[in-house]
Amino acid sequence: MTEPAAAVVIGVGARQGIGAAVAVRAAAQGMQVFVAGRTQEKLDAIVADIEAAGGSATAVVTDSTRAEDIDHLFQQVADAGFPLRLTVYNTGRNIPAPFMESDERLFHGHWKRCVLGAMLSGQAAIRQMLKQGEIDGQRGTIIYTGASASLRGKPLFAGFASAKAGLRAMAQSMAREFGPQGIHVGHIVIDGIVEGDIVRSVGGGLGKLMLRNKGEDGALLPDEVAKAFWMLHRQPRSAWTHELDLRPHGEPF
Amino acid sequence: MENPSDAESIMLGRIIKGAVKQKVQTLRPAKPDDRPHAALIFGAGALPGIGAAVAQRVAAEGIPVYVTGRNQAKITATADAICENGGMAIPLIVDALQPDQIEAAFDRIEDDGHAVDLVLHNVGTNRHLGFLDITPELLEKTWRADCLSGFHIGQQAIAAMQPRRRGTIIFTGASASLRGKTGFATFASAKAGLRSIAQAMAREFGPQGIHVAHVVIDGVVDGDRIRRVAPHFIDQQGEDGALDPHAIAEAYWQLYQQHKTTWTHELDLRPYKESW
Repeated sequence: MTEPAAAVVIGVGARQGIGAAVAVRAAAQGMQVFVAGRTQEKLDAIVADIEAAGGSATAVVTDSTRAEDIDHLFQQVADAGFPLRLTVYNTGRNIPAPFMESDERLFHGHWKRCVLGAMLSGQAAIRQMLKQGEIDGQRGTIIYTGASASLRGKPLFAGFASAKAGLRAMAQSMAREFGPQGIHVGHIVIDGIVEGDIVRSVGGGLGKLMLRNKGEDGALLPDEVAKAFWMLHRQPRSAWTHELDLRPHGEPF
Repeated sequence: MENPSDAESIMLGRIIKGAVKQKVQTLRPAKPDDRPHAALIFGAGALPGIGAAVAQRVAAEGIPVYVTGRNQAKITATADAICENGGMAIPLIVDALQPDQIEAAFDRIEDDGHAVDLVLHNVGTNRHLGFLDITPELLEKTWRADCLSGFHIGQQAIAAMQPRRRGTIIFTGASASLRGKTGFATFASAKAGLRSIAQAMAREFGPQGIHVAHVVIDGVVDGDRIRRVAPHFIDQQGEDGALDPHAIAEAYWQLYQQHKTTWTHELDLRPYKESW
């Protein structure tokens, strides 16, 4: 796709993270990128990075679980006048909690971040994509970030796994409903530690120790993960991937 | 939300604490308990239907069964039918979306001097809806009914069973638990969420002697609900083309009977000619 086009990346945090890496990659490929996340400073830093590299990006502070925020974000995209060709939804937090100490608040929080936000942004993206023209029979791509918890529930992760599995089922349903209309919905299962700012900042150097224990190339590099997102986006419609797993070479699974 | 470093330290602390607690629970011996066993069915509904048929099957073995649901007439009729056949059934009005009502059911069993040994979560309804027609309210309502109710019931069932180091918890799933089809984003997402809860529970509480299983029902159930709403739909399936609730109940009973060296955690059930 060589036309000027927009990408929306929801769930952008630190530069060393999946959301930011995808945004940087899309911008490097010439897309106008809307980076959406909760923290203005983090978004500003990524926009600055993208602009320094000659790309173009807009920061939109967004709580992905609020319908007003999602509407506002996609309105900005529509106002910019570019067709929306790529939407990435990359939120959720794997907070462990023993089952008997979990409560409704925890389950509801996971569900809002993983399922409700995915529905709100999925609907907004699809509505916009259905209005715009096709290129090679394709209107756009929507990619959801999953985890190994999307596939099975492990101890301490009932709430997170339940929400992630819910998101996966929703992505599958969307893929089946809108594939024939030229919208490619993909789900990427990230299985392993992401070599990013989140794990590096784990208290008392434990995160760094975890990374060291994983050995060389034992954690997923965000820029490498972003390449897989981009690959999915560029697939022609005769051979789409709807689910892709990514894990480091040494990860047991 | 905390900054990453706080959040992650809390997270690591929780993982370590959780693992230790789990180990301690696993090593704790069972409390002696000679109370008679009872079964508790959430979503018992009317006969024939999965919940009611399981209740009937369990009662036929001489186990008192508590049949719960929102519809007084239905669960009373189910309980009466069981009692007429010499079983012991107690109807209780419970809305599975209300944790306090769930708790009241467990309390009632304790008050009656029974130890709950089998809990069935058979709650939720399947509904077709285009993705763009989903509202946040409907999405949340379906999630609360089909998924969150499983968490509340599961948690209270574990609390009741943990001291005795035994018991069986069965969740009724659907083919939508395994994959999202067109028009089923809300239902499939809630059902997949419920399945993950069952898996996480099975892994966490199996070592404590509690058997958690998820049954995938793939096909039309020849039950009260469909017979009332769309009888022709059952007829269209042809002979034995729809799942017989009593045959389903037999499978649930077999799960309950499994020896703890040989547990099934997921079981699928479909009619012989169902395409899948």
